[in-house]
Amino acid sequence: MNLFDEVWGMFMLRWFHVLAGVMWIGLLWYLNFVQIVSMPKIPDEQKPAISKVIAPRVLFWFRWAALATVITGVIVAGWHGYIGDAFALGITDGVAKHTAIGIGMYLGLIMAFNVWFIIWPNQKKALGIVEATPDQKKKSARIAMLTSRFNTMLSIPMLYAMVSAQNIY
Amino acid sequence: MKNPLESLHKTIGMGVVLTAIMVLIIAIFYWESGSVTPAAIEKSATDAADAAKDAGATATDAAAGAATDAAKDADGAAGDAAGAATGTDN
Repeated sequence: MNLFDEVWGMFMLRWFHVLAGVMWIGLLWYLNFVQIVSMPKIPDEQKPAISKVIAPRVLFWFRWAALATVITGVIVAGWHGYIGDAFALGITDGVAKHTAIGIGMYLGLIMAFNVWFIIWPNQKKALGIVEATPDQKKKSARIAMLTSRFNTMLSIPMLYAMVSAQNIY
Repeated sequence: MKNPLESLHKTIGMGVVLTAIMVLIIAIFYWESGSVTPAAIEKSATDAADAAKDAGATATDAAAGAATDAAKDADGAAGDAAGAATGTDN
């Protein structure tokens, strides 16, 4: 295999897609499985360590990993030539793999949209990165938490769709 | 009523249920037309390649047989010629 041939390029791109996806979903699960459930148990005077130091860094890598996952995923699908059939959920060609990967792509896009346009703007208010009243902060924190939970819920079928498209269909 | 997404356990449960629904939908859609899955297409391509390989092997055998026959014929002709030459000498 030549270092610069097409097969190698496709593999490398898919590898980057998986790396970015692992970082994104890993941090999403960290937020939901660890941080959110631990916050009520942390003494108030120690909470700024999470909200001022750890959470902003988590959210930085979280949202950029989400974007990188989407971009590399779209390029992988386009390069392999199934992006149109996947977006059509396999209806155009009747191939189960394209239905599965298409469902995964739509779920991933919904999740990435939530990260950039719901979770991040609300987290900026909740963490005090932008000005907000205490009421707004509380409301924003709840919206961000519920959207993050919604993404956690979607991540389960999304990962099934992605992995099954590669291995079952 | 409390939002079910406030509970991590319910969130995971709903995720698993969604996955099961998705798997069922795909299975129902492709139950009858399973032959168009990439795995099936790949299998038929492999079968075709095997058939072509068998056909190629048959052709090779036939060519080898024909070549052997031709060599035998040539050998016979050479023998005849040698015999004729020997007769002439005599």
